[in-house]
Amino acid sequence: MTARAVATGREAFFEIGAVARELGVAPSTLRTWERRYRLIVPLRGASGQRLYDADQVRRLRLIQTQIRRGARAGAAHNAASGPVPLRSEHVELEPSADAPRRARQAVDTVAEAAGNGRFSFFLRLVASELVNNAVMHGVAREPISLDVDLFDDWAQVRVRNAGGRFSLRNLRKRRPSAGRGLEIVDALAEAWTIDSGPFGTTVTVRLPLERAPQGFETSAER
Amino acid sequence: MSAWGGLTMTDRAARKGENESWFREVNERLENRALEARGFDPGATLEIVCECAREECTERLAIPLAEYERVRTNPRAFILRPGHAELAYERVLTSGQEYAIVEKDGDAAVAAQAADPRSRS
Repeated sequence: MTARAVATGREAFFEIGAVARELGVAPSTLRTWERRYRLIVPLRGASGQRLYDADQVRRLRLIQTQIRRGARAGAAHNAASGPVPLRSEHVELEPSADAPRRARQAVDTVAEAAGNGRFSFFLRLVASELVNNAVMHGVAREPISLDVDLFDDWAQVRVRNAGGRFSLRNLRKRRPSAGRGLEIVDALAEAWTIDSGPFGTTVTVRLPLERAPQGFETSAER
Repeated sequence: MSAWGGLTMTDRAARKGENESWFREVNERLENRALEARGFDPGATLEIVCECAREECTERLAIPLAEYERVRTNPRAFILRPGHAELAYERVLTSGQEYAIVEKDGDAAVAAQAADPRSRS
């Protein structure tokens, strides 16, 4: 953030004008959200001015991103009430043979912040397998949506594709080799869910950031 | 140059070695899942990912579980699709239609051993 930050002994705080400019909203919008939702309540300075810390600014950024994607302000605040990602990436991918490669690239923009080559490799693998599945089983003319969020010690990958209800059992009846990508996901993930309905399928995967064992550092961890 | 597994190697060689070791780790987890689900049946077939150096290669291959276990007793050995070996730093021990077994040479072998999950435990 380039606008004026107020330095205290330990961390920087940001005034409402700076935060509003970064988010592209009016200061009055931030005051309204504060009053209405009580999620982001800034500290007050000596003269009563609002002072936002870095975590509050991250949450506001997340709220604004959700709103830009079409969420209502209330829903966006609900979504931002949990852990706030350190980094996020959202891409819409054409459902082509090139989509898994582009998914890996999108993951890299987020994963490099973790500074862990092994974790980045697993994250890229999970994303590319999910996107590959979406290419195979989704609707050819509808884009595939990929969201990657990096948190302190885990990451979340979410892939959505349009299409009919997904059933692994039915899929395997037709083609025994189908669904192998999900086996890799299952082997690497801490948790994963699949939400499939008449209009599409969303797979959400949580991947833990496990450090490499002592004495074996990877090139990205140096 | 990079230090990988305590060795100094070119960045490219180190990255390739890392990819192979991480694919091996994926396969170890796939095997664990299979054992949890079905128990140990030496006659069963395990579906794994090619452990070659190319990250984009996620080709699948089927290997008898007993053979997979035999390969894993050698921390320098990897299981690849035939034709995926990098002969600059690994040699082909056996090759069939479905898979090839390769063994690392030189520094790559020491690094592969250092990264072996079974050697660490």
